[in-house]
Amino acid sequence: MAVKRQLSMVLDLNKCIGCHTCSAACKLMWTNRNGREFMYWNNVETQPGLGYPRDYQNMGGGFDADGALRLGRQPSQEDYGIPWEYNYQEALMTGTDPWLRPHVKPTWGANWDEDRGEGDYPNSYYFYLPRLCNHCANPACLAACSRNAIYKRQEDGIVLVDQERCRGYRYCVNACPYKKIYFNEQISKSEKCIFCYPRIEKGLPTACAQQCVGRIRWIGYRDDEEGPVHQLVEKYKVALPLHAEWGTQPNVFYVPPLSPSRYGTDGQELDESRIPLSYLESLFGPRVGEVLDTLQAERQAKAEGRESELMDTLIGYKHAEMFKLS
Amino acid sequence: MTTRFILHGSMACALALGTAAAWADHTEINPNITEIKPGDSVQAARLPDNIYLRTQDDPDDIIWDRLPMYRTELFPAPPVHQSVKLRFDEGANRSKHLYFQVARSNERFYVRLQWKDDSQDTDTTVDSFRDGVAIQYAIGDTDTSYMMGSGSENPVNIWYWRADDTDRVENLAAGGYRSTTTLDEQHVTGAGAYYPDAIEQDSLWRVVMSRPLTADGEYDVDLAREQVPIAFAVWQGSDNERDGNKRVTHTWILLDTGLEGASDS
Repeated sequence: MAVKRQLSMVLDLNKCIGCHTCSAACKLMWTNRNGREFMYWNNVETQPGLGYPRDYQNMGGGFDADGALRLGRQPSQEDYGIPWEYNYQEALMTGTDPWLRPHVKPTWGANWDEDRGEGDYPNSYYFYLPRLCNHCANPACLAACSRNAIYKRQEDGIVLVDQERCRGYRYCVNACPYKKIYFNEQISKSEKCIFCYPRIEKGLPTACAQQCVGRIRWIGYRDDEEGPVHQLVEKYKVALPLHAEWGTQPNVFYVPPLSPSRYGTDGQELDESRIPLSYLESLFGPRVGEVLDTLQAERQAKAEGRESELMDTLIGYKHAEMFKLS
Repeated sequence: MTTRFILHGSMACALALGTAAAWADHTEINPNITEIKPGDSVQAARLPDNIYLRTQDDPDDIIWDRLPMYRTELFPAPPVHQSVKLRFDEGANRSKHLYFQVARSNERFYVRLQWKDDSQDTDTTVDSFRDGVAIQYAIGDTDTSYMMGSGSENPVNIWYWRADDTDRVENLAAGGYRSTTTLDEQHVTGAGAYYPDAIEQDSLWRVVMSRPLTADGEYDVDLAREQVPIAFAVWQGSDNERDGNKRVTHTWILLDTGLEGASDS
């Protein structure tokens, strides 16, 4: 879907510390009220892991190789996690219940498998993957909506749900392979990340990017050669989309994580990375190895005191320079 | 002799089975209910002026026991969007009987709808869908497409009731699929209730919808016509039905409200 300009975000997974400040910023800004209490327009999940909603990567949706919309599995409430409350009043105030306990047995929730990862000591590994709506160039949610309620803005490519037109059919929830459209049960309509468009229109970055303490997020237009996104995605080609094979052409890109080397059985360092390359390729596609080599080389250059424009950008000395919104 | 008897008996049996299969559901055959097919006409019953309805839209009002009942068969709507097509069984012939009654007083027009449903689906959550029913009226004549009307020149008026909000009816308009729009004027009222039965399959939804005989909105159906094309739709929540994923009357049933040229209304 051609738009005049496309705003994009790059996230450097080497810098993400999994603090969830982005999710909290988003929640305070948009999703702590009016039926959105249990939505995470932005969430941070540990990978390898099942993610949020549970096992979304195997729910289907998106497009097949021929570009036809693929039917997915509708996530259940259990996949999101049944929210629980504690009996604070009874346990702590009136003393009528000797135990402080949740009113339903918690079995799953956002970030349930935090820091679990894969592998055995000393070769265990994980990394954090912050996720938001990808504001795709070929949005499956838009294609699936039978009411034309979802549209992509010409001026910046932000994908939005027209709340006047939405009638809550939930085809979009099913079709988005990233499961980044949520159904608001209170109002019977679907809602999603709006890329903080009211902030963007004032020249401000999204709340998740503004509040990011690790400075892992850059925002800019794809076609702006002076901007950081163009530099990372087009010039140095170190930022890759998540699951490009799902056919939606995401506009959120990730700099894949480097990792220390694996240890052999008698403690020697092996010539392979702790996070298996094949695993990273399953998320970010076949170019991961090439990107990691570039990062390694540029990092070495910087360590040796040589110039590296790429490293200077990735370090993000000045937070304000990470956003170029005009 | 014995062989002849067996042969004869099995033929009779086969004949009986064949007859039963021709009817959608022979247990529903009831001589007091008139089968209506698309293209047939139905007459709205006239409620005498001295009848007082204690509750305007009571789905179980005793008055309905005294009014003629019609039955029509609804079939899956042809898919017009890939989201529906993906969920559509090719050659889908799952039909559903809808029972309806139409009546008018000197002020209001009433429709009561009934259908059997073994599951009461009243929740609208991320993964559960609600039951629903709708009546569609062509604003113009039968040239209008029964699939949500044909463009803005030939729109339809839709009254939509849903099981998660049983005491409300939405007054909608559409001019072709994808265009369903909520109207400013919401003067259609209604109520529905579920009647569980010991035999689950015989459990019933009953819904009454009504509107003042006259309504001025551009997209409010004009009932004072010789014939008003009407159609019905039912959504089965337990089958994840919503949107165009529904069972409908294919083409129109012709309603005679008795209002045209009526001096007393």
